[in-house]
Amino acid sequence: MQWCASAPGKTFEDEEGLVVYFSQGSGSTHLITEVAAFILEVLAMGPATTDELLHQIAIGADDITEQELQESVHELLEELQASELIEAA
Amino acid sequence: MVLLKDLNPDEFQHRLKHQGLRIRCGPYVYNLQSAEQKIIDGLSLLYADFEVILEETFADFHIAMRPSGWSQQLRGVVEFYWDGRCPMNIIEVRHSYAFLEWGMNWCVSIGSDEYLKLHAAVLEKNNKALIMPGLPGAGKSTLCAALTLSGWRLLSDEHALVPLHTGTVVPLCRPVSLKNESIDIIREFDSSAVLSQVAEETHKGRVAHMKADLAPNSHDATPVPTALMIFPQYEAGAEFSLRRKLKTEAFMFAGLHSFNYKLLGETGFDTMTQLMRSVDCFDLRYSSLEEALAAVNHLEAEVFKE
Repeated sequence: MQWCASAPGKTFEDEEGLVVYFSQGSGSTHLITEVAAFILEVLAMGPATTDELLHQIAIGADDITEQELQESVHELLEELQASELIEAA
Repeated sequence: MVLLKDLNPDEFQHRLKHQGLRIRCGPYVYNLQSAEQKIIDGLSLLYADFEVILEETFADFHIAMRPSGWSQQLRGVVEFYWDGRCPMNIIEVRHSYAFLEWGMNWCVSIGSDEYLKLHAAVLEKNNKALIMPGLPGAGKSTLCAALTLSGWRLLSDEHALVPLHTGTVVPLCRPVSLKNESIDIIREFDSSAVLSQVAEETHKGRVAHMKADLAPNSHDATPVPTALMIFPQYEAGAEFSLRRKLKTEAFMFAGLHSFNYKLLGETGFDTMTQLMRSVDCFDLRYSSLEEALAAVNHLEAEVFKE
């Protein structure tokens, strides 16, 4: 499945793992994880498939099994889609 | 500059009853009209050191409190008028001063969007501002009043006015609203505190207002750089705790409890971002006012010197 960002966004980051994300499309503000922010950053550069996102996230997540990675990223993508921050391309 | 206490009582009351009394509060001018004795007494006591504008020039907010006719007069109730409209329910005369104060807050809350407006108490020391957002009942007004009586300058009891794209706040010093137990706590804390007559049985319980322009520069409206954001939470019997709060969490809380963050859209986000970069954030849970004061003063000494 291919994904794209629903609209451009802006971020505010602290040092400890959470990111405030502002959607310039809807005007909504979300508190998201660093991984979710990474996905949005990747998609801001252009559409990407679930496998491509998994591959890029896996580079920074070396202490997790492939199955755990797949499950958590799928869940995250569903949450981002439900929040209307990403959509199927 | 003419202060309210400089006006002779007849002129003060004449203006208040007829053309309106223009009072400068921070960046705003209120034009107030009323013949109610509660309001005359409250303003005389708590606004004595505020500047009054004698010319009939521009006023940001035109507020009147008066009965709409004889029937209201006979029932002992008044209406709150804002620019000629009545946006609130009728008010018992005995509550009129408390409602005037709430109404003056309300005008700022919904009537101006040239600032990012956070629901927060704001104080200043050594030209650095402390912002204290808090839900109702969190104890921010009590702590704010105690700090004001302990050498801090009150910038606002209700609104942090953040000029867009800055990390500063604009002072809007007005009396501090105290409710229920807070009234006696503050009386006990400092017997010299000047409080209005208590309005009993309002929809928020017992309410009194405290004169808060105690610093020599209380009415200086120059923006103050921000340095500290504390989220107070009073809880009877709670063990004291003070912990650093993530700025991202503080951002979300302050945004959620802002009067116009969402309305300002991207400008609101950019302004909040700039504000958050300029402050250190803490959660403060307390049951003892003295402990809370000591903690805030300690943080001020640590953070403000950086």
